[in-house]
Amino acid sequence: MADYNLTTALAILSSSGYINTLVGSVIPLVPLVMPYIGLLLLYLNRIIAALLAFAAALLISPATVTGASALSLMKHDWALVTGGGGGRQALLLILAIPLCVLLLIEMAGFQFSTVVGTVGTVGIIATLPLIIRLYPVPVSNTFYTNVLSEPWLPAEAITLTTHQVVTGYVLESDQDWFEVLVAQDRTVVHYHTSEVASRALCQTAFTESKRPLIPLVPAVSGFPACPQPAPPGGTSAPAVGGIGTRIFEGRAVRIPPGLPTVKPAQTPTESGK
Amino acid sequence: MARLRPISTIPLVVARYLAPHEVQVVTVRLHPSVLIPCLITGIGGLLAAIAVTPVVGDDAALGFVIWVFAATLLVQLVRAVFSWLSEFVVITQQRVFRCSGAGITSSYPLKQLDDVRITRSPAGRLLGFGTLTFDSAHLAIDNIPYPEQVYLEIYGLIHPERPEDHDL
Repeated sequence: MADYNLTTALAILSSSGYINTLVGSVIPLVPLVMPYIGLLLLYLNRIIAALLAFAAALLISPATVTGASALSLMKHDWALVTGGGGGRQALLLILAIPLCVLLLIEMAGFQFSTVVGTVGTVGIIATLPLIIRLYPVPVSNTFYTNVLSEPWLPAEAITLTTHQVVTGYVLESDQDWFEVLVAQDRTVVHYHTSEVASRALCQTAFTESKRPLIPLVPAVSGFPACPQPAPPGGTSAPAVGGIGTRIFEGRAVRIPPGLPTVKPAQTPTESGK
Repeated sequence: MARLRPISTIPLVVARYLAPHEVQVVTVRLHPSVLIPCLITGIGGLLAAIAVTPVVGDDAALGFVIWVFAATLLVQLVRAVFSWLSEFVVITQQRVFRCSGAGITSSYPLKQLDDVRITRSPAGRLLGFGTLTFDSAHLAIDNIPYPEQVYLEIYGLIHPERPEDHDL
C-alpha cells in the first residue's frame, strides 16, 4: 500500500493506527479465501465453524457466476458425473452400495459429529471442482499485489480550489486539515480545508469486483470511476501539494496556514518521480 | 450368559506388558466397527474422485489435488486397519488396560473401578459391540466386542463371590 516507502508506511500507521492498518490490509483477502477456509474447517471436523464459513462465503465471496447460473452449472456437472461408459457406472455403483450401508450403520451407532465429519470429508472431494469454478483462486502474483496495495479506505476524487482533481484516500481529517494518501504516487499530503472545493467517492479500476452468489442488496450502479491522471503536461494532472501542504518523502507534516509551502515540483518526492 | 474363557495364547504385544504374577482374564481387540468412519472416508473419497474426474476435465492440477486427497484418505484407512490389528483391551485380575504396538495407552487398577455398566447403540446391538463405562474412573471404552461377556467378567472381578453367598 505504501509502495515499499517506509516513510509513507509510517505516515499511514501514525494516521490510521496499527490495528486498522493490519486488519485493513488483511480483510480484503478474507472473502477470497473464505470458501477454502470452510473446506479446511470441514476437514478438521469443525462443523459449526465450517458451516458458518460457507454461509459467509455465499454472502460475501465474489463468485464468477450468479446463483441461477451456479444451479445450471451443478446440473451440468451432475450430468457429467452420471454419464460415461457402463464400466465406470458399474464401478461407481459397486462403491456406492457399501458406502450407503456403512453410512446407515454409522448414523445408527455413532455420534452425530462423527457422521458429519466423515460425510464432510467426502464432500470436500465431491464439491471441490464446483467451488474452484465458483470461487477461483487467483494464481497470479499481480492479483495479490493489487489487493494488498489497495487501501481499505474508499477512493475519493478531491477537487481543489485550483480546479485540480486528486484521486486519493483520506487517512485523517479534522476541521482544518485533510491528510490524503495520493493514489498515483502513494505520497501523503496535507490539504488545508480551504484548499478543497469538493470531495466525491469514486471507484478505482481494481475495486470493481464481482458479486457474491447470494447478494444481500440488489446491484447498484456504483460510484463513478476515479479520474485518471493526465499525461505529463496535461491540465488535470494529480495535484500534489498546494497552499498549506508540504511533503517530506511521504511523511505527513502539518504546516499551519500562512507559512510558506513547498511547490510540488520542487519537493524531493516530486523530483524523484 | 456364558462367561468368556481365558485364551491360552496371549498376543505378543499384550504379553510384553503383563507382570509375571499377572493373569490375563480377557484380551480382546476392539470391534471392527471402529473402522467404519475410516472405511466411509476411504471408499467415499475414492468414489467421489472417480465421480468428479469427468467434471475436472483438463485441469490437471485440480485433478492431481483431488486424487492426492483421495489417496490420503485410503492411506488413513490402511493405517487405521493396522492400528486396529495391534490394539487390545486387556483385563487382568489387577487392572484394565489398553495397549498397542506403541505401548500402554491407558491403564486403570481394578481396585479403583467400583462399578461398571454397559450401553449398546442400535448399531451396536445389530453388529455386536457396546460401550463399557466405569463411572468411578470417568472411563468409557467404546466398540467392545462381546459386551455382555466382558461385562460379566469385569463384574465378577470387581465383586468376587464370597463363600457365605453359597450358604444362603
